[in-house]
Formats: sequence, C-alpha cells, structure tokens
Amino acid sequence: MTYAGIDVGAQSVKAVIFDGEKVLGRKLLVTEQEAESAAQEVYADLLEDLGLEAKNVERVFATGWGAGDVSFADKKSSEQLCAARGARWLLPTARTVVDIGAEGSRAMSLDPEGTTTNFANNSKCASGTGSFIELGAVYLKVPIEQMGPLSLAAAGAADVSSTCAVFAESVIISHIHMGETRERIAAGIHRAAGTRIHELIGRVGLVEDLVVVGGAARNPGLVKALEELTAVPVKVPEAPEFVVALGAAIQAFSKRDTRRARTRKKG
Amino acid sequence: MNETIAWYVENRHEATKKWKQETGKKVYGYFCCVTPEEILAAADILPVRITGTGEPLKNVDLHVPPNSCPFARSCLDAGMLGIYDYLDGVVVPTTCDIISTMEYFWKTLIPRPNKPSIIGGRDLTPFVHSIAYPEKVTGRQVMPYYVDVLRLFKQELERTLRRIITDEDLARVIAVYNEDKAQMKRLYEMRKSDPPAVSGYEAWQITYSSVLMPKDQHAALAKGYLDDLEASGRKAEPGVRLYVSGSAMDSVGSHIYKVIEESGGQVVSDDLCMGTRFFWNPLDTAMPPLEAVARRSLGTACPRSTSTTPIPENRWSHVLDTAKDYDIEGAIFYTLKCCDARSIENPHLGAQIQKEFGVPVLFLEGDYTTEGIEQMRGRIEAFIEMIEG
Repeated sequence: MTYAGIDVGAQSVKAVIFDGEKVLGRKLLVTEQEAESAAQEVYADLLEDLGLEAKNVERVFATGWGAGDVSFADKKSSEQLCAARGARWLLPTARTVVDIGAEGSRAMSLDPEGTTTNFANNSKCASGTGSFIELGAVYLKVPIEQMGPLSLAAAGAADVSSTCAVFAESVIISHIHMGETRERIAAGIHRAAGTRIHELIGRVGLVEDLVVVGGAARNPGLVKALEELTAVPVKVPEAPEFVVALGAAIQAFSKRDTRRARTRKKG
Repeated sequence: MNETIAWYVENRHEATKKWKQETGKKVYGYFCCVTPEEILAAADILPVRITGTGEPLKNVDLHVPPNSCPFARSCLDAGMLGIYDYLDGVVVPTTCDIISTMEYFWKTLIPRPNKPSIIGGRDLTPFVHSIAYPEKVTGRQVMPYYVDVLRLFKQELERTLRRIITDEDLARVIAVYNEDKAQMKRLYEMRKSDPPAVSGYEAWQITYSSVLMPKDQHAALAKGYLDDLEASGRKAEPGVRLYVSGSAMDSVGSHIYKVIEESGGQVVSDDLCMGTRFFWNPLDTAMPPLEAVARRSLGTACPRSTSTTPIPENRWSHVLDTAKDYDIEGAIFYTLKCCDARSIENPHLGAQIQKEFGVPVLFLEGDYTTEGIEQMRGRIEAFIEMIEG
C-alpha cells in the first residue's frame, strides 16, 4: 500500500509517496498558479513517474498553508507536526526540529519518543525565513544558490538588522554604498536570519540533535550561522525541502483512526 | 442558544437602544470589569461594557498612537464614530495605562450631550467619571481608601441623577448580581464533564451577554437555558479540552472559539475579563453594601494589578481556581498586541500552568480583528493536533 503527502508551501508544492518503509518518489513544483491546481499537477506527475494510479494510494494527507485547498486530500495535518514527523523518521535522534520555509519558519521540540511537545512560529514577518535571504540575494545581485557559498568565503559578517525585513533591506543597501564586501554582507544576512531562528529555538528549548529542514536548509551559509549561534552541530537530512511532505505521508500511513475516536490521556 | 441572548451578542447596540426606548431609563458605558457597576445599577442605570468594532479604524490614529492597545483604540474609534451616542455617561477606572487615558480622550474627543456644571473648577456632574482604582489591590490601607473612592463616585452619580442611592438600593442590586453570578458558576460547573454540556462559544455567549444586559433579565434567561440543558442532558461536541487566558473577549475576539472548535478543540474554562474574572467572586452580603462592592472590585484578578504579598499571587490563584477541576489538556494565551500587563506576566504564568497541569501552552498575539485570528488558525490546528498526538 502507498501513502501520499502533499505540502502546499508559500513558494512551491511538494509531493511525496511513501509505502510505510521507504520513499518511493518525490516531486516539487514552483507555484505559479493557485494551490489546488498546482497540487493536482504535481501529484499527477509524481504518480505518472512511478507508474501508479490514484487508486493505488491508500490515503493522501495535505499540509502547509494551502492544505485546505487540496480537495483530493483525505485529511490535513499541520506543517509543524509533519516537519517533526518527517525529520524524526529520517534522523531518529532528532529532538529539536526547525523548518525554514519561504514565508514562515517554525521550531518544534520532541520528547525522546519522538512526540512533538511544543512548537513556536515566527511572527508576521519575513525576517528569519527563506524569502528574507532571497531579498538579500536580489540586492547583492547573486543567484540564490550562491548566497550560502558566498557568505562562507567572508571574514566576519557585516551588521544586518534582524528585527524586520524592511529595516534589513535599507541596511543592506547602505552597506553596499559604503563599499562593504558582498561576502561580508551575505554573511550578515545569514546571521540576521539565523538570529531570528535561534530565538524560535530558544522558545521551545534546544535539545540535541538539532535538525533543520525546509528549502533554506540547503543553504550552507544559514546552517553555519545557526551552528555558530546555537553552538551545536546542525543536522540536515537529504532533500530537506521534502521533509514536511514526507511527514504528511507518514501521518497518512500511521493515522488510521479519526479525531473523534481518540482516547483521552488521563492523569 | 436563547434568542434574546444571541440577539444581544450579535446586535448589542440595537438591543440596548431598544431597551432604553422601552424603559426610558439611563444607560452608562464602562471600561473594565473592576468598575463598581453595582452602584450604577442601584441608581436604576443599565451599565454596559464598552467594546470596539474590530473594523479598520477611522479617526483614532490622530490621537492614540498605533503602537498601543488595539482594543482601547477601537473602543475610542467607535465612540468617535457616534456608535455610543446612546450612552448617558461613561465610567473609566484607572486600570491599565491605556484604559486610564480613556477618561481624557472620551472627554475631549466625544461631545457630551448635556452641559457640564462647573463650580470652583470642578465638574459636579461629570459625563465621564474616573474611578481611582489602586495600583496594589491588597494591603491594610487599600480598603478604606477604595471605599472612599466609591463613596465619591456614588455622590457624583447622586448629584448628576438628583437622587439618593441608599444601602437598600445597593443590597437589592447585590442580590440580583449574586444570582447572575451563581448562574454563571453553574454554567462553568456544567463544563467540567467530558464532553462539556456547552461548547466554548455558547458559554461565551452567556457570559458576554451578562455585561450588556440588565442583570435580572440575564440571570433569568441564563437560568432557563441551563435548566433546559440539564433536563435534556445535551452535550457539546467532544474535543481537546482547552483553557483560554486573555483579556477583553468580545464579539471580535470570540471568533477564536469558532476556530478552536473547527480545529477539534473545546474551550472548557478561561481567564478572561468577559469570562471568569468578572463573575467568579460573589459579593459578600454580610458586609456593608458599599464595602462589598469595593471588595468585589478589588478581588478581580486583572493582570494590571498586583498584590502586596512577596510573590504577587492574585493572578495565579485565579488561574488555579478556574483551571484545576476542568481536566485541561492545553492552554491558549490569547493576548492583544501592545498589552504590557499581559506580556509581562505571560512567560511566567505560562510556565506555571505548564508545571502545575503538565499541559502545553500556546501563545498567540492578536490585533483585535477577525482576520488576525484567521491567521492564527494554522497554529491553533497544529497545537490541537499536537495534543491529540
């Protein structure tokens, strides 16, 4: 039997097919249309790649901000829980999971058994998210993939505000005018984003292992900034942008009972 | 839900205007549940709580900066729009900083219908009354001081209305108020079962309508509703049992109950000034009536007040009282942004709840709009899903 997870993010839609033991396939589509059709497209493509049909899939769980728009999903699950589930499945020693998406970031703490016990979200601000780094890339005229490597080449970091993405923007521009090197500005941008994420981690309490997932986890500059700020090694699973979708597929696999049938924890 | 209660909740201004027209009596608006509304009721006045609209603000930006309490800003904006033109007076206790300034703003920005009678620089019949509520609510000097404050307030009212408010008037009102409080206590008792007898939203409708309606009418309606409920044995939808802690939960904030219920949760008790905080403690009938009113007002567990004990414990003991028998599985702190009183105590209070009840706490920051609550939906869903495991 197979199970599917669809993660409708702010910038891209991800689909993962899981059979209870391994990932059969995954696919990503950068969102250029509304959530429903994007989700349908990426899901259909993935099924076709795997030579499967929709009827072969036992259950589909949707997650992400657009989860409510995925009409073919059996149920939706929160991105916080999916990220924690997915990360824990890939790296069973994970106790703190951070998911850095395009428009939102969140930190989850897990108990030794892997149950999510607490989470924190970034507030209504792009600071500390993937798009914050993208914004910096635009001003530095650097492709987003090179932002991380660029910052790694820097000696120290320029000071960039972490309070607000709009403030940071004007700081970046003035750094450029003052002749600050691009490497140091890039390092400063990562440090600013990392500071916000470090705050989120602080709110749930850091316990090792710290696992970072989401598209921004591919950025070595951000990972380095987080390692410096938290003073612990950061683990990044393979294909971090698919972890939330994988978590949704795992939820689809493991959640047989419905909400109303749950048993109360007493005492 | 009872039709009259639902009507009051949804159309509070229409309902009050109609009541005023039918009875020919006066209506006073007040801020904060510490207001000694019993004194108003004893003078045959209907005290109604002032709330905002949750709509985009039109006038207030020129006067009150955007980085202050969105609830107070919205209340003032509603006043400036003329929504409260039916009021015959306004009472502002000096509770938190922003509410205290409402006296000044209401006086200066909202024209009063009758002329002030100023003698010796003092307005003898003020339209906007201020109540000098003490900073610390316990301690030796507080009661005599506050009873004096209330006596002055009573005299202001007596001059304005040209009538005497006797101890008998107060005692009669205290009995009515206690009956209403008893009904709401009964309502909260019925929420202890699993599933609770009423949903969080229905319970809120009952408590919220109490700050808008004549108390005798409210007590009778609440009693009828609860009697029916008891007889039918009806239960609310089961859900994750949640405790809500916040401040002014009016029809704007109440949207959170719907989001919680749609996400599989059920609010079973609360720490809200339009919830347990205003009715939890009955008035002491053995005391002289004015002192009983003062004691009730001082006993309100508002996060803005502190006690004189080494560790301020008035807030924690209220939370403990209202949460301990409800078998809660989680707590949601719904705080309006820029609320200093809540922001200061939140980390500490949240940690204490976590420790005492072993449940997770979700901190949310609202902006006093229903859209703002919609943006929190994802976090509320995740929180409930996390508790369900």
